[in-house]
Amino acid sequence: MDLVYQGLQLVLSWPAIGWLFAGVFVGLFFGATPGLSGVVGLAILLPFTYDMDAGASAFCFLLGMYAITTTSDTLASVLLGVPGTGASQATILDGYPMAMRGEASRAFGAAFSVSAFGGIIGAILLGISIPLVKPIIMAFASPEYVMLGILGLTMVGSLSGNSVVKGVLSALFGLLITTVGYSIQGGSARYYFGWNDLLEGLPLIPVVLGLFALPEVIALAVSAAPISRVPKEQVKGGMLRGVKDAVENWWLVLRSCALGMYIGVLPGLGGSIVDWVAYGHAVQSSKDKSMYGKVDVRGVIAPEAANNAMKGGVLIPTVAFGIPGNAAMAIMLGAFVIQGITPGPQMLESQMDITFSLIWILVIANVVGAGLLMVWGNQLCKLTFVKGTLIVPGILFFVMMGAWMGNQVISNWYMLLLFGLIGYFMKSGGWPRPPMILGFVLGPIMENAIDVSYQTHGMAWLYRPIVVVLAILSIAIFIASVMGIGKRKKSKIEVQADLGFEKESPKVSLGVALIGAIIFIYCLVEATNFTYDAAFFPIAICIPALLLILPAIYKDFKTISVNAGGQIKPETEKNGFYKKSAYMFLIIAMMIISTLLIGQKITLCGFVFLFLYLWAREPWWMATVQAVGAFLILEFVFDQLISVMWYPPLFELGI
Amino acid sequence: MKMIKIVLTSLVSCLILLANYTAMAKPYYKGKKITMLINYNPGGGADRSGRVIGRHLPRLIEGNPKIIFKNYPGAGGLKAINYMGEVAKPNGLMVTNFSGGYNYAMIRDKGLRVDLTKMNWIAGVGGTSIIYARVDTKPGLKKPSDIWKIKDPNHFKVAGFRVTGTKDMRERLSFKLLGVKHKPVTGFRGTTKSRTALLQNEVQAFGDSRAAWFKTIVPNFIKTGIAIPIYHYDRFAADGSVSRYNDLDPSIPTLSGLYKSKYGKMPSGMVWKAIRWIQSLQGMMVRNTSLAPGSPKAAVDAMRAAYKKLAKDETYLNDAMKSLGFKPEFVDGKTVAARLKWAINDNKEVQDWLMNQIELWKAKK
Repeated sequence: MDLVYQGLQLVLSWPAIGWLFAGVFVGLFFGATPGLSGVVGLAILLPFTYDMDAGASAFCFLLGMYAITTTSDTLASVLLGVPGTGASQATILDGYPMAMRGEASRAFGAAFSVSAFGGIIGAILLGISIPLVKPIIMAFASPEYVMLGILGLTMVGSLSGNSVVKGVLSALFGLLITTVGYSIQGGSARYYFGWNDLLEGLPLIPVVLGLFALPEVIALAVSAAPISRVPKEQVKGGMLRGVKDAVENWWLVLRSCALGMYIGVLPGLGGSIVDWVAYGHAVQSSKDKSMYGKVDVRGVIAPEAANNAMKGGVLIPTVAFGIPGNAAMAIMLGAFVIQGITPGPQMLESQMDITFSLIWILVIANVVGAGLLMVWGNQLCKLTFVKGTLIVPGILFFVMMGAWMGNQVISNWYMLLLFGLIGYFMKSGGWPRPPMILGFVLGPIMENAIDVSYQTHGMAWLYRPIVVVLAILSIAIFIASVMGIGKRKKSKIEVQADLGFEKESPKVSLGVALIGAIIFIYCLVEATNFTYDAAFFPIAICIPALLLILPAIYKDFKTISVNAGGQIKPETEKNGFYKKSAYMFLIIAMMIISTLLIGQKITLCGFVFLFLYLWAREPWWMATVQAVGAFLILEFVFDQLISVMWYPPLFELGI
Repeated sequence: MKMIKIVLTSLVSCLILLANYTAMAKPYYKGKKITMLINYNPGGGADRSGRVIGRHLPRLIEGNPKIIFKNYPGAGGLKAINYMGEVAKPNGLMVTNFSGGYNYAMIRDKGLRVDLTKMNWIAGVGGTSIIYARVDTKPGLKKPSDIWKIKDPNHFKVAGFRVTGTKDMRERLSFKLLGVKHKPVTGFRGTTKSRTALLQNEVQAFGDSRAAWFKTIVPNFIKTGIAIPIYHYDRFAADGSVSRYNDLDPSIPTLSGLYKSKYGKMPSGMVWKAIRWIQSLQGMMVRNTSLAPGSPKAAVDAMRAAYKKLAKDETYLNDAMKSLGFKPEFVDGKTVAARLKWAINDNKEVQDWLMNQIELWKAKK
């Protein structure tokens, strides 16, 4: 207990506590801005810690910032349908529809309270789990990672909406696109078409932003309606209702925290899968699954609790073994070294006060951050009632900069546009997108783990006890989730009619299926030219995909035949929605071309002005104000503060 | 006429003197901002070493410019290298602190699109890797020479990243040279996964840089009794002689020392030539600093002079000791340039042999 108290004293002393608050404020910004994240924040802030005192100040600043990013990332996920960070993707599934129903405040209330709670629970679990961690890390080697990946994929059933076939195909496509680039396993390049930018593989953030954010942005631009389809006066319940939801679902919160914490403990799994696993678990464990993916607050509670608890988890291997739990912890490791602290066993023996101070930082930062967001969140919710075309430029601005941030190459924007098109047609055709992201995140982990497992254990990796247990669990979960879909089908129609969502277009669905089939065939044929190690994974994906795609194509043909009889006609075909959407995609394409010619700053600011003035028909002064605001953010935040690498255009205009 | 010539000549001479004086009077970097480009992620070795340099370099560069940092990771460091050669302006305002990169030129990697010999090399920092192995590797390792007791390659798996990486090439060649039964396991995505695998006994050996050795490996693997050091790569001088890195514990033999302890003579043959070839650059370019091709001479000279001062600057060296765990030993840019040119252009036999070996390793896997 003395050590616990000493740790607290370290944090509460001046100037450490001041730095903690500073870190929290900075973290709120980095989490809320799409494309930025805790990792980017740590990279920028690390140099500021060089001259800090040898006490807890540096850790208060850095960890205080990092702890809060997965709380503030909820802002963009709920309000805009754009993931604030990679750990906030699953929150969009229910958070954004809640905003569309005018319940953004409620989503925030639930998210912020479980984020605070998740952070605290994660920190407590961190403290009590330290003796348990070593056996856990020792037990989960490459074979167990393969099975964890498969277990993660069983969530596909829960994320598939009405069609498990489409969900599985979407996940297989997500797995397939991870094979683009250089294969470490096979020592050769795959599917890169001679384009060096693709050698590294497809970048996560542009793919996610394209799949989820662009279709929503385009829908906003075309409809010009506010995000909330429900007028402000009709909205029931606010932030306090969300807090009440969190309390009522306390058991789900605890389970999600545990999931987040213990997944975080395993080095290399990353924050991107935690929220999906928690979301999938929430669906599978619920009796009433009808509202998930629509407006179920539990779809916000589970991922938000998990991704905050994860922060405690990733700290453990970093502190205890000097093995960073994720990319952010690799930077924290640098901070430890700079401060003269060597992570390792001594952190759990002679330096426990420092270890406990880290736990206290997580606790205090989460409480303070969530509290601040509770206060400000209501104001930000007003954005959902603003005319859509007024906020589209701002959203697209941050989406494009968010997509740029990863590795800062123009191909990021090409991928953003390409996956925006894919996401748009998938949404229109009723193809679920979350399984694709799940496959995309798990693919590299699984392929690598399968290869290393075989090299290190031969086929014996399949018989390891934990592998067997996870395999049985995976099968059971998948069967349960498939059976659950049947029960949801009936209630989905009622929900749709109630909330007025567009119906899926079977013609678009068929188009997606046919293009998908062509891609799978091409990849399968191409894979026969790879070395064995490079070909294994793509072939293992394409064969089942091609078997499954046939019934999907057949079903769409059948539905079209029924439609042709005049029974159901999707609303979207009537009102020129597709035509206006095509214009928006064209505008984004032109922005990319403009960047190649005259650079990003002029292009982005020019877009903001022209969109508001010409498309939204707003007054010139309003367009000018927003364009100037965009320029200031580009100049002072992205250029001066973050030191972004801008694209070198053909015509350098010196801006 | 003669008088006019004298006057004109004097006038031209004065103008030339004035121009030079003006140039001399104003240092090239005065009032300027330099970007230090780092080809790996924040927090890693290249990043930390670059930022430590960046804290001290401004006061050592004539004109005291400001330095900002940009991380540009990707493609194993290749993306930033291509950027320097293709996109960076030749105005001396972008300087690199790269980790590696020369290996791509050595194996004629198609991903490398620039001619590294055309870069303006400012300085290099050499280094070595230390190979360590679990003590419970069958039949048990208590000292480096116990590795020859290993009978089954499956009992001695060595973690690696990719077949074409410097690290993997050196380790495969080294164990082949030593005649140790081992099994290379490639595909680990970085040092974190490799160290974790060693901790889990999925693999039994791995190699780490000096910075990681002091700050991470010794406290977490060596002092805890999980592993012992086996050898470290020799320092190769221009005349071909070898020596050890003296900041490492004397009980850690060099590769040649370990070989000699078994075979009674210095290593030789194509395998040894290939190791020397790789290490000839590793020994001076683990971290390397350059300006873009075509940069002004004034910029190159100013930067080289600054790094020369940096190499002896006690404040910087103490800071490096604290942050990195060792004091970097710099090699000047001209030596780096000459060695790089020699390594890439004058070793075709070794290069061809190694490329062939790489194909065999890929096929065998």
